[in-house]
Amino acid sequence: MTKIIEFSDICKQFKVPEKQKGKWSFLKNFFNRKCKIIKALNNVSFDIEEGDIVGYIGPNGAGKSTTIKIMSGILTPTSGTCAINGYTPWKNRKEYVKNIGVVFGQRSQLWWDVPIIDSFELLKDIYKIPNQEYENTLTLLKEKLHIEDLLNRPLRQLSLGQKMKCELAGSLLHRPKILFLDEPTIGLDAITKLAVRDFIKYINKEWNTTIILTTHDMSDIEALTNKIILIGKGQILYNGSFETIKEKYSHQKIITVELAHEYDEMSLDGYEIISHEKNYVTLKNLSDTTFHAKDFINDISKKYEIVDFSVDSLSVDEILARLYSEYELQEK
Amino acid sequence: MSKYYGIFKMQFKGELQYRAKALSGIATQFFWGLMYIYLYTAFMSSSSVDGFTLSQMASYIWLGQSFFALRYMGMPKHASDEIVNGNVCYKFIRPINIYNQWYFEYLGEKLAATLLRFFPIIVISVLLPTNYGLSMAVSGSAFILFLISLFIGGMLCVSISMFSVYLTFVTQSPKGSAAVISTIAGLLGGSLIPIPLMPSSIQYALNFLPFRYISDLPFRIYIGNIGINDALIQIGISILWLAITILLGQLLIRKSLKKTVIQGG
Amino acid sequence: MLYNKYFKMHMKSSFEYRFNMFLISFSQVFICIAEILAVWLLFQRFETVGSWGFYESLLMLGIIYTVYSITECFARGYDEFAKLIKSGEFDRLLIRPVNIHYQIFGSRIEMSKASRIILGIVVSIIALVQIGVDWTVWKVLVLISTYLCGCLVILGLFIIGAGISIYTIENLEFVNIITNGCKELSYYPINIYNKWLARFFTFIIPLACFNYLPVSFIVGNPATIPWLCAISPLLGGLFIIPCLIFFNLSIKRYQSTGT
Repeated sequence: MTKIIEFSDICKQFKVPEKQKGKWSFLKNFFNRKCKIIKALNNVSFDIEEGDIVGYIGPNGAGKSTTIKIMSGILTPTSGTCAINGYTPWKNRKEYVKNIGVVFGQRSQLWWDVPIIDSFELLKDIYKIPNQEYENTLTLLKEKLHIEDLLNRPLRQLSLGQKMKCELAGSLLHRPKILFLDEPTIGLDAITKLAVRDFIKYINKEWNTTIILTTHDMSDIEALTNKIILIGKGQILYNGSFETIKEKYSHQKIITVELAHEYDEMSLDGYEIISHEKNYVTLKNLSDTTFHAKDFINDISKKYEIVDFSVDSLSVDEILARLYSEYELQEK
Repeated sequence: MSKYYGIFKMQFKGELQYRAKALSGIATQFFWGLMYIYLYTAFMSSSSVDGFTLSQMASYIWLGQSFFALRYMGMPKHASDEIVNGNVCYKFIRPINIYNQWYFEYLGEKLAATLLRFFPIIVISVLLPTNYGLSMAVSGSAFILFLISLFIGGMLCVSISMFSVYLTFVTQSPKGSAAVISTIAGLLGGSLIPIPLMPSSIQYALNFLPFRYISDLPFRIYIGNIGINDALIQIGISILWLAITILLGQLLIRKSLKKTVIQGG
Repeated sequence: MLYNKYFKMHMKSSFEYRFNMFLISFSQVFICIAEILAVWLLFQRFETVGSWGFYESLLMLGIIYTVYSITECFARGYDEFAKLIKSGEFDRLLIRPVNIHYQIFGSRIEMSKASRIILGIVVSIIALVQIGVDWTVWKVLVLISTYLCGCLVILGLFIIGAGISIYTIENLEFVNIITNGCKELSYYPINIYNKWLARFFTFIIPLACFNYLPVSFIVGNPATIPWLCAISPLLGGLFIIPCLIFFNLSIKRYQSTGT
């Protein structure tokens, strides 16, 4: 495996006007605007290997899109070096961008009121794709994404899901080596979401395309990626396989107990009560205790009369929420 | 009334956000004011034309540049956006007359833009030498009448701008509608060239249209080109035009709104 | 050629909104006629300004309209650069393997300006016929270079405006007022203005190089030096160079602030 992206010690600072507060603040802001420097990225380093699908996650405002913009050559970092596919993105821009594709989930690269196929033809010219190669790629994309019937309609007539499929096709026409996907499944219905995921996996396998994915949808991460990079407050907090994180939280359980009577006062060593309603009470084990079903039943039935109970692992979203709060990333 | 005050305040704050825009606006207004004065001085060559002197002309131009935002006939942007994107239907939910809301939004925007810009231009132009600078008003009473007629002029400007909102309903093209209305008003209202510099037959004819009561009337009261008695009569006429245009505007917009709602936007 | 493709796309796109395009074209012709009317009214009252009569001014107006509309039609991308940045379209252009200026040209082509280009040419022809020019080969060449120079200078102004909007994000009135104001005030001989203003519009923003000076040569204005007037459009066209340099520096800044 070769490293296709090497990101080392990247810093990025922005100067933003500072809003003053108070009764006449809007006048003060007008005459005297103060600026403060925000560190969007602070010594960010990571490597990505060719053919990987990497989930790039973090709460809003963590620096995700800044990183993507630096990687796609739109922004120049304040300091640090970056080599992608042998290029420095913000230098040799024209050469570099031939090998990347970018999909911004919220924005479109296709023309609003011209048939999709015309936009594709334009992209063909922009990327100087040879005729034969273009035909082959288009046939493949049409087949895999089921967009054959959409190509003669303008973008404005398509549904969100159809749009996303066309966007994906558009950014893959030139068979890029690296694909950046910014929130590719946002707002999509379940069926389309699955189709888009399958397609991303397919491209990754067939073309060995390296894919960097930012998303807030954890099921995307679970279904697609073999590696995640967690960023918060401009710093890399975790970089490794998703399994490891799941492992870390695997002993964390949520236990729902049905009592024989209405809930009253209750306490159990090593467990914390999260919520209760009528006969039901939900507990979780404290982080230093490991959950054993047998011990739990023994302990609880000594003190209380129980009818039934069920045990759940943490969901992916909950794991992430824990992770964020562990690093104090949650906005208060 | 407080809800209109609220609308007005929002517009004012919104306008203050664009600091660079205001500063560059002031600089360019000043610059072009100077250019216009040179231009008309060259045309007038002798020192006065039918009692309109060079120094009056300079004052007329500077007042026009200072109160540019107030007399400029643009497109009430909120209104046109809402019409084009169809959100206008939601307006029915709110307990407020739609015409009034748009009217006050646009008036607020205008007043805010004017208040932010007029002062620096006035100060600088007062300091310029005679025949190039802004002179004092001919008398105290003229100055008071100037302020009154200017305010009515600003309101009249908004009420005429509202017709471009109506045209937007019809054509769905805010740009084209605003352009047509503002060009008519610009030519016939004296912002393209000062009305005292037009042939006298045309000057006479323009008295019968509403456009010159927006800015030509107040400016000429200020420089003393129109006497106090005439000024009072003409202010009366401008109030009449204000009432007519507002009533007509209310009527037209109510009519097109009904149509829009029935067609389902 | 790629530009052809852009052109066809814009054609298709604007034909989706034929009615709207017609309306905008109509309103633009309407504005032009009102502006011509204003100039005509002034000359009705005063007959001449400096050594200029109505038709000399009309010729300058025709030239300005033509070059301004051509530039607006094809280089609207620079004129609306703030929009390009705000909508994220500019980011999109930066990830394409094509020269950025080429793409900005391709990003906006406004067919509705065609009506004004035609009107500008018609007005120029009417004025030239009414003035009764003694044509020579040189005069024809100067006239052609005048139009070219005009396009370059207006384009230069647009490019500066685009460069500035990288810093401010707002679409500033500043550039609009310079370009529109130039339009309105440059129908008249430049020597009626203050000498510093005249110098400013000859040597800093070379408006005179595509109106007063070459038109003086064509109509045979005795107040000017003929050969200098004849080559002025060639010198004025050089204005585009510093504008491009400024813009390219501004893009570098965009890439380091990413607004």
